Amino acid sequence: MGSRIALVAGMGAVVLVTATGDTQDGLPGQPLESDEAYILTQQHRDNLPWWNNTWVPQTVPSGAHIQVQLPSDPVEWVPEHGRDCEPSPVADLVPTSLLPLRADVELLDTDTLPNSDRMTGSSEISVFSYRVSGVGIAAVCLRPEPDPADPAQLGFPPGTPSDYVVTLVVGVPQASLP
Amino acid sequence: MDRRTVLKNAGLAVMGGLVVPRSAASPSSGPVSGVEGEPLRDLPEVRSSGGVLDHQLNMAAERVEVGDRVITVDTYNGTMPGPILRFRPGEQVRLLLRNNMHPMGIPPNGPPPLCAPPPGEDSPGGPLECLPHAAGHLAEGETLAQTSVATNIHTHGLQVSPEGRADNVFLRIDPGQRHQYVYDIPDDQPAGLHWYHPHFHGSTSHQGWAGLSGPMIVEGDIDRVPEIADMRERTMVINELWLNEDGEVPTAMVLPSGGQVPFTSVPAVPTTMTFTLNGQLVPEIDMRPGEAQRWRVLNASPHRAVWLQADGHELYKIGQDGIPFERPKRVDSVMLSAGNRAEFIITAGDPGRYPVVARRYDQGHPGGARPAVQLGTLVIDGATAGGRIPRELVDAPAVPDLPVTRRRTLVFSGDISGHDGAGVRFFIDDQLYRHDRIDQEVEAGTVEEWRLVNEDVFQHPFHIHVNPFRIVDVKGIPPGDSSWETDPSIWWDVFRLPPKGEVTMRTYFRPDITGKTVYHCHILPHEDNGMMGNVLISPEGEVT
Repeated sequence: MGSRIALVAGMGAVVLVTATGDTQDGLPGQPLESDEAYILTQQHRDNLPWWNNTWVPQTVPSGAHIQVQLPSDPVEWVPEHGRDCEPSPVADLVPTSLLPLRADVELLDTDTLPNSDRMTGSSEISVFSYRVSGVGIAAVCLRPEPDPADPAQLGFPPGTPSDYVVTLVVGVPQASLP
Repeated sequence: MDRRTVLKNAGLAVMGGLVVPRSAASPSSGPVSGVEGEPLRDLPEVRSSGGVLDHQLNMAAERVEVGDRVITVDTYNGTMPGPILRFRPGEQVRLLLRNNMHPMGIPPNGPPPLCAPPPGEDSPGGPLECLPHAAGHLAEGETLAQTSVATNIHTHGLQVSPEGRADNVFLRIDPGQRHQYVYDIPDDQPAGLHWYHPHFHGSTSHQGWAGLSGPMIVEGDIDRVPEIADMRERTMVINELWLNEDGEVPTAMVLPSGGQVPFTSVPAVPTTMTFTLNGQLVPEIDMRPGEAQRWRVLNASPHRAVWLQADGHELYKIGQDGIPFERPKRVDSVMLSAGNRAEFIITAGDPGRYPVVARRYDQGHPGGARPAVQLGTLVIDGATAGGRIPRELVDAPAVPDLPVTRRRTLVFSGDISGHDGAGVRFFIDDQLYRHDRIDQEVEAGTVEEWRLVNEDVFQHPFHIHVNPFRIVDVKGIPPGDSSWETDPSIWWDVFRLPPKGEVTMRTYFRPDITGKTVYHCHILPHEDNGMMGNVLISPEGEVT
């Protein structure tokens, strides 16, 4: 995982790709799709307080496309990796970091979408596309810059950390069970 | 029952016609290539006989072909959308609803948020307190899986009683149960396109995303306008199907997202959004050059505002939300918010293939404008026909010449952040919906004006049951947005609130219909998440 993340580590900061603002009627094919992505938002963050310590990580198959969408601007999100990115304990108690099996996480792409006035304190949605592969635990981590004093600006509950961590169990077949 | 289903079930438990030359109907763009599809089918139809329409609607899962994909969705009588019910004013409609649905689409890759309360609800506490809390929800039938298959019927647009066995949206009909509905259609029910769809609070969007919907056509005066009577009539239902990889609607907590698919779930699964016309993927609509056809179009989408355009063709609108106009209105396109109906005449231009599209439009959803979608292809071929557009239609219903009894202001807002609880919440007057609370009491036989203020960027389409309304004022239409119709003579039962704007509507609570009913946002995931209120229509002189 570390080496793949290292490929993008040189980014140093999130590359924000400006939306085209195109007003022409294009005709995408049907159905409308998101490249089979598992779309995760600020409400998919690990162990949010309203889970009341009953949160457990969801599973995804190996090779899954993970797309993280977070409120941004003025805040920017920086992908983290290595020691700065550890999976969360289940139910805020059982440490998943002790599990020996780790799946690979590869950052594929970043993008932004317009989101003016939808959420207080942000005007865009930052989109991060990852590929997870292998079998085991994986964590996707993003750090806000600047770190806002109020986590609510990120859509996070008051009193919670401002970092975004989502832990996944990779390599479990699903959605189309055999 | 396959293994997956077993596993999931286990896991849950118009006088004087105007001839329009065909060239006049295609002013700007020529024919273009379109997607080749199957011919648009006519929906099955049930017609009243002897003053009564008596029919059964069986709700059950069915495997349905959409394009080259087989999906499994709940249907009415095995078809998606359901059959057309056709009747006349003064008749009685009897519908026996049988609920044979079972939960589907439960994500197998994570637990539902049983102990995660939505914003505004009390926390059940930690894991030890969660079990009895979850058991209580199960016993009360309030889990997501149970709610997803609880249902009832709303007869959207019919001016009938909202109580008893009629348009009573407070009923809960669970799997294995049946309910006999009886609707007495008033003699003055306008002639036009109305529709039926599930309306159990909490499951309306889930069942809407399955395509559960069906047209109701009230016949009447406008059908006798000679030019219209001569036309080929087509009834078209636009459905918006949100499906997982198995071709089922996810039964999960729903969250808005950006991108082509506007929703995701907890736990997340890959999903797609498919728009169908009469259950078909981009079907072909045949016309002869110069032919005029009458199209009745229903947007049964739970979410998407459909800005309908038949490329290069002008439309002559003859009715809105089931209420006919006095004369046709020429338009380039028609905006149908979720729940709207539009009836119009289209005159075919030169031979060719023309896409029928939902135009790209920003309705306020996160991530910006929803993309353009091709819904069908207009295929013009064959011998030339002489389609005529009527000059006059019928007398439109009038608002009685009464003073405005009362003016009210309602404020619409929402929170999609999740910082106060799981999921999204949408409010009217800062309150989430409660079935046991009367939010507004009005007097039958009176005229009121309601100012509807939108604090959101979301264009909440306001809908009120039983009585339609007219628009008095609209503020906040985005500059350059030509999709809005503010003609005060048009009757609506669904009208969008502009982003950060407001609408003032005037309505007449007809004197012969009383009882408790609802008003709400017709973006159904907004309604399910709180944006609804109860209105009690009290008999004349009995307002408390």
